[in-house]
Amino acid sequence: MEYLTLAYGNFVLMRDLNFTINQGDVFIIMGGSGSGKSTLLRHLIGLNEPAAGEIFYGRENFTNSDPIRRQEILRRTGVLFQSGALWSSMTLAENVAFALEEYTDLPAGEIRELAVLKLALVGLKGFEDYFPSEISGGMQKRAALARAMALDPEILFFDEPSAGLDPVSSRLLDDLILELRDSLGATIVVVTHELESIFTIGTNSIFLDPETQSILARGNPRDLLADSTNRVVHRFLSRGEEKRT
Amino acid sequence: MPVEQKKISFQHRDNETLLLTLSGSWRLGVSGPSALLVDDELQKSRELRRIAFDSGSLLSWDSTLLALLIRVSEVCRRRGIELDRHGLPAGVCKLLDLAQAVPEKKGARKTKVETTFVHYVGDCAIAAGVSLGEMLKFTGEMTLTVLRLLRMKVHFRPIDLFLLIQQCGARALPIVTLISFLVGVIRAFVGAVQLQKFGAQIYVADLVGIAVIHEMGAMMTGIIMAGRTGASFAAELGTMKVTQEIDAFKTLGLSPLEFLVLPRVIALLLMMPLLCLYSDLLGVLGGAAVGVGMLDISWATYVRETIHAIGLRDLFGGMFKSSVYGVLIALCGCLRASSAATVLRRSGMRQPRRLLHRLSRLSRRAASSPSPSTSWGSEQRFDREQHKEQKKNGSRKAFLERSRKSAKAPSSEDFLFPLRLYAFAGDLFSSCPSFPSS
Repeated sequence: MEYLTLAYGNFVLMRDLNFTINQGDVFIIMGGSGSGKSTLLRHLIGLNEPAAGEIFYGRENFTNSDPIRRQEILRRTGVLFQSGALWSSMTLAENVAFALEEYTDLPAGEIRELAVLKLALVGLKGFEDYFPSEISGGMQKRAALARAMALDPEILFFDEPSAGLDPVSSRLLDDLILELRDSLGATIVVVTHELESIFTIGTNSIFLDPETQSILARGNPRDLLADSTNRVVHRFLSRGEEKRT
Repeated sequence: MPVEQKKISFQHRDNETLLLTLSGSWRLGVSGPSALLVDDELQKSRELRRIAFDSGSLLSWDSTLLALLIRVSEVCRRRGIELDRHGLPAGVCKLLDLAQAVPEKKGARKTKVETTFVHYVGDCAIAAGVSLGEMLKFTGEMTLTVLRLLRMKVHFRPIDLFLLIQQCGARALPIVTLISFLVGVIRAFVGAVQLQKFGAQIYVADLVGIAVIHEMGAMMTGIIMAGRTGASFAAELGTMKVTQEIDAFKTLGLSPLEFLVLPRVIALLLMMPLLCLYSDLLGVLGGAAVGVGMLDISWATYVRETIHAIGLRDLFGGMFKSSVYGVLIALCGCLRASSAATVLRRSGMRQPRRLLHRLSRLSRRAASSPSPSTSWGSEQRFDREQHKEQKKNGSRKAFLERSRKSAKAPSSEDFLFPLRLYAFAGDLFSSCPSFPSS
């Protein structure tokens, strides 16, 4: 990301953001409520156009690419939205199989097998023919993760993956994220403010501050907690406790 | 048990100290002195240096006491008067500390802006321009989608279309039956009252037949479907927008227009003429019920008279109108749901630099690349056919080169350029500068 400026009309959220996500990272985008984390994610996945600046995937300029090239880039990514965003008129298997039907020439039987496999990977074996309204919120999140993994993406984006989950489900999801990183070699980008998740899975991070409209800190979250001299960052990472000097 | 009313009394200990004695139940719903009384007392005592409290007779309290004390503390802060809280209950002091712990954020408070009539007219004009832009953009994008449909290059699930046909068609029959029959009855009754005076009640059949088949069948069906199905489309797609299901389509490179809007348009386009035909029949039956029941006209006579009055031209004209209404209802219903989606994209268009960049990209794209651009997601639509061709023929660069060469000779793609500009005109309207909101 180079000199990225995020804005809604005349209202600027963030200015001149510069950061790099390395391959294999579990990269955390964190900050307080309303700091622009989800907005930044929407820009990274092409749902919003930046007011200024550019986004690069490798050496390719994603922002200024033509639509065909942008879609080729996005095919290498998967997105888990905050609410899951499963298509309610399709079963879980159909949700997962949708991208496979559109972008591969595999026969229907093989697509079904792949969809069942993806659902099994997230612990939903046997639920393939359920509709999203028939399962719990945690299960919907996992099904949405299976859909995000449908095309074996190189980069996975998670928008508040733990939102609405109980602590046990949240922990299971964190373990799943780490497993995906280790087994698929995927780069993971997570937008969250859940400290447990941040410290469990994060290897690199940025902290967005709405007051200064910039990145206040960057690095491994555990290192930031130990070494950061920024009061706002430390207060966030220590859950409001003031730093003792 | 009667509740003791809240009371407050003032006692000047000396010229500089005012003692406020609080007694009774300071609770919501218990009447008592208003805070204005305290304001008046404080105004009288200009040389005050200190305010103290005595709550020994205080029976109970809630936020009404807190509100009074906050008001007093504000006055004290403004006038530099010391506020001695020792005589207050501990819980009150803690809550006062909590209420005053976080200072007011600078710039947070909204300032009221006086809006003149000219401002109001301007705001309305800008809003109308933005709305027009959205509509133009949506219409242009849908036109391009329909052209892709005619070239059999769209993708949507057939099962979705069949379910929509069921929803728009079969499930609408009960309400169409009721309304159409009643329209026929009313039409016949109103006409019969007048025609009976001239002994021409037989012409009720003509009246009902022409009115219903020529106009009212299509119109009533359109009104019913607008309220029933158009609103349903807007609600469904709006819900999908809120739950980010539409975003999920876009991130997969799929066009929400093709998957969501087009099946709805097709479903209504197919079902509306059939519903209109059914409505016509029910309207005529309604009229016949009046004719036979009230005017003593026989069924055979009524039917014969109706057949003589109308022609196939009337029938097909009504059905054609209903199909147009169906398309308009589907588009309007879907547009209302998508208007929220276009807000974010529209905000990116207000930067002149990006405007020019998009214009140049559009021009280049029209000249070289056959992939159309829409705000409902076709910008992000992955053209599967082109991707297959690209894979088959090797490199993307070679593919673009071939496209550029083919674009030199007039082709069907050249005719798409004006439509893309049409869609882009919508962007231009949407990018009109707006006044800062109050």
